[in-house]
Amino acid sequence: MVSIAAANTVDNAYPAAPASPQFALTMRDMVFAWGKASPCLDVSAFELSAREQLFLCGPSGSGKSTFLNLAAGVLVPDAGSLCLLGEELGALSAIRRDRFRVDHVGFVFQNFNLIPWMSVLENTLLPCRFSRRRRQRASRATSPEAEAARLLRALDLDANLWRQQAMKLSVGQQQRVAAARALLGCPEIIIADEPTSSLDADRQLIFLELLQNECASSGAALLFVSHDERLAARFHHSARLPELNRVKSGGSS
Amino acid sequence: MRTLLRIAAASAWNRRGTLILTVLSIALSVTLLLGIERLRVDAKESFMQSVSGVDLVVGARTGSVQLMLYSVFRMGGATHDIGWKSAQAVMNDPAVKWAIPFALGDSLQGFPVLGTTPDYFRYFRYGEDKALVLAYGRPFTGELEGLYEAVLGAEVADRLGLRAGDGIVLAHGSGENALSEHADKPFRVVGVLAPTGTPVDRSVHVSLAAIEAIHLDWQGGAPTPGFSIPALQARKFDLTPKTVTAILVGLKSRAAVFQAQRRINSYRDEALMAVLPGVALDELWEIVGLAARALLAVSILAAAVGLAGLMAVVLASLNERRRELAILRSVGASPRDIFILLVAEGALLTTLGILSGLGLLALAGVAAAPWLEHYYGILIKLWALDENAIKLLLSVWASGLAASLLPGWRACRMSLSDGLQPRL
Repeated sequence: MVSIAAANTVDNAYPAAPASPQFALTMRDMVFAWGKASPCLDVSAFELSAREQLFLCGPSGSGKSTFLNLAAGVLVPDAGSLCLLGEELGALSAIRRDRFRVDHVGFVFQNFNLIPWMSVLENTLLPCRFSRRRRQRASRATSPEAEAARLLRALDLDANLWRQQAMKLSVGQQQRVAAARALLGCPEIIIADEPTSSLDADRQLIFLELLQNECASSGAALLFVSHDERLAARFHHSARLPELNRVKSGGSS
Repeated sequence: MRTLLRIAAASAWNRRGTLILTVLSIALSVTLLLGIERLRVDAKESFMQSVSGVDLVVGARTGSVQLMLYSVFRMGGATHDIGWKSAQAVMNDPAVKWAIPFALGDSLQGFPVLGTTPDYFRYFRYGEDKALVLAYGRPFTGELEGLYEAVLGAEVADRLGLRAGDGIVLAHGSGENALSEHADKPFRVVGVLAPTGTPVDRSVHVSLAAIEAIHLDWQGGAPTPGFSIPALQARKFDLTPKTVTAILVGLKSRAAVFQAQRRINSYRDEALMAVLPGVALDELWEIVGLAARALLAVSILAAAVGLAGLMAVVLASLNERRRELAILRSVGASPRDIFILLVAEGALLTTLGILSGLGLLALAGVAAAPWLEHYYGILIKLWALDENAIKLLLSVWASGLAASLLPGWRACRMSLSDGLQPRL
């Protein structure tokens, strides 16, 4: 294991990761407990390299949500280190963490989490509304709208759906919109939390392939979390959360 | 910021069903609040203009409020009258331009009868210097020929169904408990006044001489037993009034009002009193206006209820929006953004509520103005948002904003504890 690049420079006003950090996500002796309860997560070492696509198997009750909330900087570890793109998240203020997350992380959830009354295009553009960095990166080629259109097309969503309200779409289509939203503005890491659990078997594979391809072409690392171990075969790397976690017993979520 | 406001507006539009009801309830509160405030101000103004252009009201020495009550509002009775000699002294005072003497005490089915002179129709003013206008007919002549002629106020004619040419019989005493009638000397209606919205509408006007004539054969408030003077015979008697109840006085120069008042108050032969109607009306409004103030208090409560409704709706919608807010968090909205989103919604609803409240008020005003003026003489000024009304509006708006702070605070707590996914 290589130590985290110490030379990372941090712009104070605008916490931006260096051009090419070696790791998207690292955890070292990271301990987390809910309140004063005994720790529920204790990870001695976890690494996700830049551009790596990792399958993390987490059966329910294995602390998966806690793990993801930590990885996203919503929760802060009680001890140890957690670095996202070389940035020690626990050292940032809550506001800076929020900023950092939206600038560098894209999410895909099990239940898509599209805003039902917004159009497909509006939903896709949401990260650009809140993050200047994502907006700038999305505009590198053309404009955020054109980039959103490119992603939606790449994810096989018909152009005549783009102006429709998200809730009018089928489950599979919604999940692809969610993926386009996560990818827009080229965040360095995509965290996908059970994104295929609502899809039927055929669509699972189609969706997974689209997601993997897009991550590869945008250069994002992918942390794919699921309880469904069969999907592990589709990844070069995989890990199991119960094995990473030194706290045994099925703790709370 | 603009993005947030756009999202707030779009999200509100998505829940427009519930929100329109909230806006409506705020609108109604605002309408009520401003309407009642408007009515209070205009009612006071109309009240203060029950008489206009009168510099002094002269009567026997009593309370000034009492003098106003019976001379201007024709309510209750005078405890004392003024002798005709004193009355003439007042009317002939060099400072006096015109004077309208009144004799009260009789009634027509509860409506007060006012014995006066034809000058009444010439000089009496109400509202903003408006003269009395006859709806039809003519004033009584004040001469012997037309001794038993009466001019009715609009409401009297309307309620009793009387028209020019109809005969009426006056009753002795005022109010509903007038007992004996002056049946031997019936009057004929010669004219009906246009509505004024003042006590004039409730008055029956006859000449002073007629009042004298119908009481020729009366003594101590009852017909003299075994003695009566027929109506036609009465003309042969001296019909100069012996007493009057009050005199409305207009001066040649308003500047002389205090001098004239002092002169009348210190009149030697009889205890007279002259009051400035404006001052006395103010005193009277202190009493009457209490009801209006109570009404305003009620409408302030109504506005509070409307705003509580706003808070309740926004709070209640939080649970149903929990997911939406968590999604916004997950795509980068900070808790501060969420807070702004909720407060912006509150501000938007309050603003819309106030605007539609103003619209409703204008509509109600347009619909009710003619009716209010006709029946109550209240002139509603539709677009006059006076300082008070603007203060009320601003406080409604500020309260609306304040009422959305709590939901905003709760939402941003909620979105933090939910993390990136709501626990549904």
